[in-house]
Amino acid sequence: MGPSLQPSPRVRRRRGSNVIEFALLLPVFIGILSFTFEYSYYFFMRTTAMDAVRLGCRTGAVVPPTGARTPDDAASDAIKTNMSGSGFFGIDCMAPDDDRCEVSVSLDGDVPSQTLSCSIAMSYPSITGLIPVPDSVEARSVQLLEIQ
Amino acid sequence: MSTPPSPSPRRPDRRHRRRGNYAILVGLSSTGILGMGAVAVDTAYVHLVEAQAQAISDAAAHAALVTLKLSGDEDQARNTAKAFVNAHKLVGKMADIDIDSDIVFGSWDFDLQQFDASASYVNSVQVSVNKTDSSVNGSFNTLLMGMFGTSHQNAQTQSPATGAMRFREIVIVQDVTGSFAQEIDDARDADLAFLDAVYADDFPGDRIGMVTFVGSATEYTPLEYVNDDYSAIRSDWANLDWCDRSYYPYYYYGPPYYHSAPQMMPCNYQNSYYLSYYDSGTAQGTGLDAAIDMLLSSGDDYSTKTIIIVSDGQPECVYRSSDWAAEAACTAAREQDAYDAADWAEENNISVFSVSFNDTYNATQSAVMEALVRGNGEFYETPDPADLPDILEDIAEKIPIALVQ
Repeated sequence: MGPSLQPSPRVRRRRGSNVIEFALLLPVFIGILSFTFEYSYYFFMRTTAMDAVRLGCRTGAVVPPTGARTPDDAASDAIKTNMSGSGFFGIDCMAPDDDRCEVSVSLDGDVPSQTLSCSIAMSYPSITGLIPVPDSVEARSVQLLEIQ
Repeated sequence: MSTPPSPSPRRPDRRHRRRGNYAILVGLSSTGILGMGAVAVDTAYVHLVEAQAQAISDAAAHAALVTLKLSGDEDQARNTAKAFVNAHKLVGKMADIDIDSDIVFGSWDFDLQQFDASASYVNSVQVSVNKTDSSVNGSFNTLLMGMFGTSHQNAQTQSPATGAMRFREIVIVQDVTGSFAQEIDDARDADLAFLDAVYADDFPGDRIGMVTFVGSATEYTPLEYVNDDYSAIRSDWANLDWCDRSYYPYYYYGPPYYHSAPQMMPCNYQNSYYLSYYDSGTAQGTGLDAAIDMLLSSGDDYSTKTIIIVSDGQPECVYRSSDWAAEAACTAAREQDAYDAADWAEENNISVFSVSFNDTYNATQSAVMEALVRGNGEFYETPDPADLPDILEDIAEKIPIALVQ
């Protein structure tokens, strides 16, 4: 009678330890990767929002307040347009009924120190849902009106 | 009967040796993966801080420049810049700058795209918002790189934000037809007030010129540097008058029909021989065309180019003949020429401000003059010639500045 082809029970137990090691370490790997994805993308989107608000507010700051198109309207439109190309979770800042994107622009102060305050707040849905991340992306810029 | 060889105690089973390999590999690779993740996250974070700092310095440079334009006071501009920096947050805290070292005034060369802090004139300001150990904002902690011994990062703007005023090239297109005879003094005062306002801004690259028109146009003064040639320009503009009508047969009529102003274009300018007795009418389009030519041949592609047209009439031809159809067609063509000229200005990024002096309200004149506005220009209308100086001073304040960085 030849040797059995079945591994001994001890060997089977050792093989199982690999699975256990893997099972224990997998959440750690997934956690590291999730954290990397989530926060890299979160900071990227904050940077994108910051640039959109800065450029949009700058656009509005050069519009004469007495014109047919006011500085706040021009800034608001420019910020929404700048964000529309971001492909940010399908959030469409141009769509008036998309309440996940809130652009706020106001004219503050008096001539000759009238300022244009611009901000954006967008909901930030987690990519993986595994790591707690801030639930919104916000950015703000204040510009002095060029023409007062 | 043979017995299987017993395993040597010095050479454990290969399976024994493999036990724990995963843990070692995972331990080693986790460090690498965690390190790469830390680099990815912190790189994104540092970029965010840099973007915030850049946005703040942009806003501050712009505010300083606007203040400098309005007040001409560098100290006031510095305070405005600091106030705008303080109005923003950098890494969750109020941003700040050193009002002396982080704000620098100088000149910006648009051709070379270079800032020169030692230049003799100021048309530019640089603001740096830094986040470094030595800056007023201090450094900031990275999120994960601390695991690898880097607990903070010196982030600062990629380059200081530079706000620069484009020099202005402005041409006044002045109606000098006979109908302006009664108001030419106010128009002259307005042009001089505008010149003074531009001169008061004290920007060395600003240039100004004037085109006058009746039924055709001519250059009254070329584009000249306001700072360098202010006295000469003012002297020329002080002699502005309505068109010259010191020719036959007006010798015999006397004033107000006869008008000797040899420095001005003749009222029958470019009329045909058969119409040489008559004024040539009003053609805003020819004035705009001449002004656009002047601006496009200035040699400065970076300046803010602006035309201010001042007129008291609608485009019209004066045939003094019974061919009313031909006269109407000529008038319509002159109106269209004016619109075409305004479009040409817009195509070349030239703004057009339009000032209508409309004492006996003429709706057609008002509509035509308003339709000539282009770019950053605006429409003004008044029945009182005494308002003209204030209007042109207002326009002088509205010709925009531009940020570069």
